[in-house]
Amino acid sequence: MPQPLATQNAWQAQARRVALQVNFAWWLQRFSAPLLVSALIATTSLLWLRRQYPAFPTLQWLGILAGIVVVIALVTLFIARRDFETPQQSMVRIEAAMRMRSGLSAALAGVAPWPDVPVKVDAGLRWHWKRVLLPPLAAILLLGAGLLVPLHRLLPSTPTPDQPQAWERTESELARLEEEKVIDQEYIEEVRKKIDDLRAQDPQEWFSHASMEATDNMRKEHRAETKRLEREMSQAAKALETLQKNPQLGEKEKARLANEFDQAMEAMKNGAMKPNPALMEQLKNLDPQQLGQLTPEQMQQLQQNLQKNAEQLQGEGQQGEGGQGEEWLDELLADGSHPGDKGKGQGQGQGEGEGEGEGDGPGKGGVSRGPGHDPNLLGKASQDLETGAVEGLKATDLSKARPGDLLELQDGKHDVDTSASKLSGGGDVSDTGKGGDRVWKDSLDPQEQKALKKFFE
Amino acid sequence: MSQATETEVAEAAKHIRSLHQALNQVLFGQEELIDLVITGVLARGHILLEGLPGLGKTELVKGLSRSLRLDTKRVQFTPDLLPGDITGNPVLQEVNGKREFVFQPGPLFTNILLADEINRASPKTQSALLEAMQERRVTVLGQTHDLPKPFFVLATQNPIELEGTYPLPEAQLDRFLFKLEVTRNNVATLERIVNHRELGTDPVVEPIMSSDTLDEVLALVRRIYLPTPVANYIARLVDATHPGQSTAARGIRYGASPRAALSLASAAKARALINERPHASFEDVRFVAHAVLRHRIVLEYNARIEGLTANDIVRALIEEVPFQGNATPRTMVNA
Repeated sequence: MPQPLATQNAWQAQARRVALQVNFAWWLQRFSAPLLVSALIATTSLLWLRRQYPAFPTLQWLGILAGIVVVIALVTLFIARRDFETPQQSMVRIEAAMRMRSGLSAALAGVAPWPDVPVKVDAGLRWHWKRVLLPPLAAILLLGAGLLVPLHRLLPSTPTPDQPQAWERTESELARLEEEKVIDQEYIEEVRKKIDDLRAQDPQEWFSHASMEATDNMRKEHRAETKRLEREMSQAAKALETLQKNPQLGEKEKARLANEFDQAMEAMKNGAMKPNPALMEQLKNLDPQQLGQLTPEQMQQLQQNLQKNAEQLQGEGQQGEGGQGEEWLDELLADGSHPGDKGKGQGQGQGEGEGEGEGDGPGKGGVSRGPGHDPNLLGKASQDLETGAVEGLKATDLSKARPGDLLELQDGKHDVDTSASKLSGGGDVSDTGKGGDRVWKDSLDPQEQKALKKFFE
Repeated sequence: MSQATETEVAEAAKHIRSLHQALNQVLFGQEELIDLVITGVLARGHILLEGLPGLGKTELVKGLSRSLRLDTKRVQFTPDLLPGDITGNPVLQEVNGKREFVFQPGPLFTNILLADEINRASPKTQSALLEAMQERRVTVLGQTHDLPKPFFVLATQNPIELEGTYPLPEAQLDRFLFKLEVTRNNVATLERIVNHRELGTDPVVEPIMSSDTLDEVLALVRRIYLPTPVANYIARLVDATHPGQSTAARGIRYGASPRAALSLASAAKARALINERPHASFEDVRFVAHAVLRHRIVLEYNARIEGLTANDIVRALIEEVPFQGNATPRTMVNA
């Protein structure tokens, strides 16, 4: 091989080496940021996946990660290709760094001979190790942490909170009433629907203020209905009992008792909670005006029926009275079912019910009670502090006067120019500023003013 | 046009070296200035010499004309000088029995015009030089007259801060290939001047080359190879003079024109010939960058207030613009 050709090849080999180096640097630059971001995402994903699937082998995780890195590397390689330089361009780097006075470009164009290849060819480039090593190292550390950090086993999903006891209690009452067939089924279904509506909310909302208030209202209504029905039945039974036991009563007295029975029956028919259908049917066929014509056996059976139902309802009412309006407290201090509160809940729920009366301390809260009004609200007027009143201060010690203080008042007159006003030509400028001031203020922008100030400093 | 060969270049370089030596005998201690003047002449450019009176500007131009055996005329520019005084005037003469205007060429019709203290003339007279400098011809009363070849304007000017001067307009400054600053001499040089010169007598300068040789050398400059990377460097350097194109250009209001890029290329080729190379290089461009660019950029007001000069800006530009056009990846650093 002739000498010049060998020299040319040697230079071109050097140029290719530099081009490779520069192109690799470009690829590293493009690769670093996505690698770091992907490593961050992969680490968090790995931690989550390892927690979800603890049985998945680490080697397979490694394989997946390697695959992701290869994909990123290929994509960034494709992007970095736009910045890649050719060996000819690298040759310019070499001749510029080695101060060869464009000898290589001229030789490449055939204008000048190829210069001798020195022992060390320098393209004037050095690796920026911090930028080269930091992103891959950080990525390795992150992925290592994602793979190797020990994780706790996944805990079973947290149970939904217990539902308010008032619902369970109401449901059990309804179930008992249904089983004993004391009241009409329609009412039972209606109350159950209300409970179901409340239960259909987000479990986190079950103990919210609105939910508790609705529950409380529902309980109140139910209790009121139970009491009403019990009262009406007792009244009807009592009227029948009196009629049965005193057949010799006068017509007037009989008519009063028949009227009482009639009123009780009407109330039973019209209320939301109605007696069971059998009793209702029996009562419906009964003419209150003809009560006296019933046989003693018939009257006794009817009276016993009413009495029995009334007693059953009374039992419900007594059970339901416990902890009226205190369901929220019941649930907090549950009767042994709440962990950690065993024993403490015993006997709770037997409180006063609604209203705790007025006291000195704050109220106990709850859906139907507040902390009470301010004790001073209805008492005698407190002392007026006269806030907002303006009161003048006099500065008697003039040595301590501050700017703005009124020191003295004098009678005097303003020095007003009383001479007659004159006409002046429009557009006249009376004062154009003093010397350089006008230029300084009007002609220079802030940057120029700053520069000029700096100059004079 | 074929590329210059190494043999041709070596032959021409001999003449240039002789010219260099001859001018060094005219002006002491100004080697770089002489180098640039020769570069400017070889690049067929006009040169503006700026410096205080008495530094040898006129002597240098006279020495150059004598060593090149070229016709030289000198015009002392004054405020009352009229354009016709330098271009020439039509004079009413009797020709063949008829009276008609005959053009009488002015001092512009020469090879080297020494325009002394050009900034003392009025802008009207200064602008009369524009066509002559760019087109190398003069138009008077609708008639165009070509100037002799080669034609160079070597103008001198006093620093514009002095009284009674008219700063040259940017359009005319752009016509000058170089603006060279003539600095004062050091003590050793002054001592040499005192020992070898006498007031009122011109130094003896032998002719170095004939006009034919000069023509050949000038033609050879055009055949010097300008590598593509160097052309790219010139383009990037000129582009960087425009505001927003580089950090250094923050102090510039108006950047250099494409004529500046052509001037850089021409001067770099001439420089390569002086250095006996058949091709121009990055270093040649750098050497002439100050002389080519300093009068072609208009500084911002703030930059002037901060004491920055065109030289400072050009220096910053040269440092900022790398030789190679390709960006360096951030994972590497330029050593």
